[in-house]
Amino acid sequence: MRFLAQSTRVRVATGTARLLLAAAMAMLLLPLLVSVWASLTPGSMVSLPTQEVSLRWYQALATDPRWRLAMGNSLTIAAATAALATLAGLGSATVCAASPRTAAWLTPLLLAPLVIPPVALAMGQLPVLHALGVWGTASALVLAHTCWTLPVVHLVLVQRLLELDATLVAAARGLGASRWRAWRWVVLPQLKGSLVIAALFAFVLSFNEFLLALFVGTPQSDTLPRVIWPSLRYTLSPAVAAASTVSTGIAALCLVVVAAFGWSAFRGASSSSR
Amino acid sequence: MHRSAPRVRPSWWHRLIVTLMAAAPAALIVLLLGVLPLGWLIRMSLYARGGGAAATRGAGFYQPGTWSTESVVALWSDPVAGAALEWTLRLSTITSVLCLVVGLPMALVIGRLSARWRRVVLLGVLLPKLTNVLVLLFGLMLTLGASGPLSMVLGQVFAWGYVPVHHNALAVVLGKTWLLLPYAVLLLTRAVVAVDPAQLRAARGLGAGPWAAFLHVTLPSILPTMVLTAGLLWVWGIGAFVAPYLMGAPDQYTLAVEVQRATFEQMNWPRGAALAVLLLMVASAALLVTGGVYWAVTRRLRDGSMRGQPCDS
Repeated sequence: MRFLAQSTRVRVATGTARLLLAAAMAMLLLPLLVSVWASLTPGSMVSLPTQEVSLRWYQALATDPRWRLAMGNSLTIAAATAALATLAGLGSATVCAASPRTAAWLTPLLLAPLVIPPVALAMGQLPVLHALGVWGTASALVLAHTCWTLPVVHLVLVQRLLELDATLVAAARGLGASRWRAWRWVVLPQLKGSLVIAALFAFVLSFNEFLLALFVGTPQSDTLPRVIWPSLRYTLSPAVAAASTVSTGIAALCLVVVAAFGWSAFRGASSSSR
Repeated sequence: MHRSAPRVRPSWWHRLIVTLMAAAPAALIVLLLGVLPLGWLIRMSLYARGGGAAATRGAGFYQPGTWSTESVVALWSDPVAGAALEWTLRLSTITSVLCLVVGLPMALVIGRLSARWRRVVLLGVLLPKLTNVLVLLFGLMLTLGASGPLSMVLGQVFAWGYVPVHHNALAVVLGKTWLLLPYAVLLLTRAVVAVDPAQLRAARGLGAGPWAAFLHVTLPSILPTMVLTAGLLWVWGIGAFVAPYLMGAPDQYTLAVEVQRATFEQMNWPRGAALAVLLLMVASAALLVTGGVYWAVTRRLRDGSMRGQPCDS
């Protein structure tokens, strides 16, 4: 009888805890949903439509040259950032995973952009990019974003590299493969999933990055967040909600792909260790 | 471990060159765009400020080639900077504590879910961090605002007007907490999952209640991560920009906001740079404090466990 009472109590406690978690998750995600909802308003004011919905603000987004330019810039910059950050991160992660002595000084350097206040970083980057002669071009933002997303890429890749089975490389080396060949044909294929994940993170972080873009960008290199900013601060238009939905949609899409790849990478790891 | 020697053993400098080449792109990018900018920031704060009329036309943000400490010295007696510094520290401390208070229970529950559900929930936690800040705060303002769903419900049920979260301190605290909470949940969940289940079972088997098991097994194990999380959120809170700017009144402008305003609204670059250097120093100090506490806590936990004593006494 006492046991039964206790197990019921545990079940009630667990149920309550999960319910509270669900409530917290709802609170965390509700605002995203609300901005999607607001984007469907047929009116010209930001409101939550309850009678009828319309896609007119998506149409406005697709036809307005300013939004179109920003969208194109955002996509280009994000793609270039993803490529550059993943390549640079692959090199640094390989070095750090191979040599703890190098990692001891290289890791803090690479992770520094994570803890530098973004405003200070952005303001300092402005004259540097100016001196490099890229200020006002999309390349300026690509460089700024690469520096900023590199820590994430580096962390994702180092973690995967440290999980890898070291005996496989040792076996390849024992069979006469050079360091390069062992890396190219044993390590790199196992990194594929993590490379995709890292690149997607860099892509979506760059696509939605706001602060560096605010400081370093110019009207020619406007990105989506840069166009959202003034309309959010001064004139609130439902187009902002539509742009927000696009932003969230791309983030969600990337997350789904990351989950799929993470899943298969995880499965691959567990089956190879068997 | 035995390893058959390759035909030509690469010399140490060969390996050094390969290492350098592999690490060079990343190191170069961070040095050029992460470290050099900070130095340049300090230099910029030491320029004489640009002339009035020229400054408004965007020509003379500062006088190149000059050395002057006027902007740095002026910060000492600047009431705006002082108030911003005070509010920045208060806001970052409050949000860091709030995130820990809300995030720890969430992490504890998520850590107990099955692996599949844990993944789903964590993806949900990650989603807000991958969209942009503006979108998040826009959504939050709509949700909490006068015509949002929350007010609809509250208005129906309690006949309240709406939560007074428009350009005030409460709004900024809520916004920043809401922006940082996912990081707290992600970091803490990792730590909770890493707690040794055998130790928990042993504690329960020896008669410990759930609370005692938490206090003596879970807590010591996740304490270092809690310190690290609180410290990171504190540092990130110190850099808060968008939430105070969008959701706050001028009274709630943080140091970061003042940097942007000095630079782009007042066109006074030396002042902006001096404020940015101040911000940088505050963030560095917070980071050092975090490192110190982390070091002390891990050392104490290690010593405690080596002596075989309970760690929390």
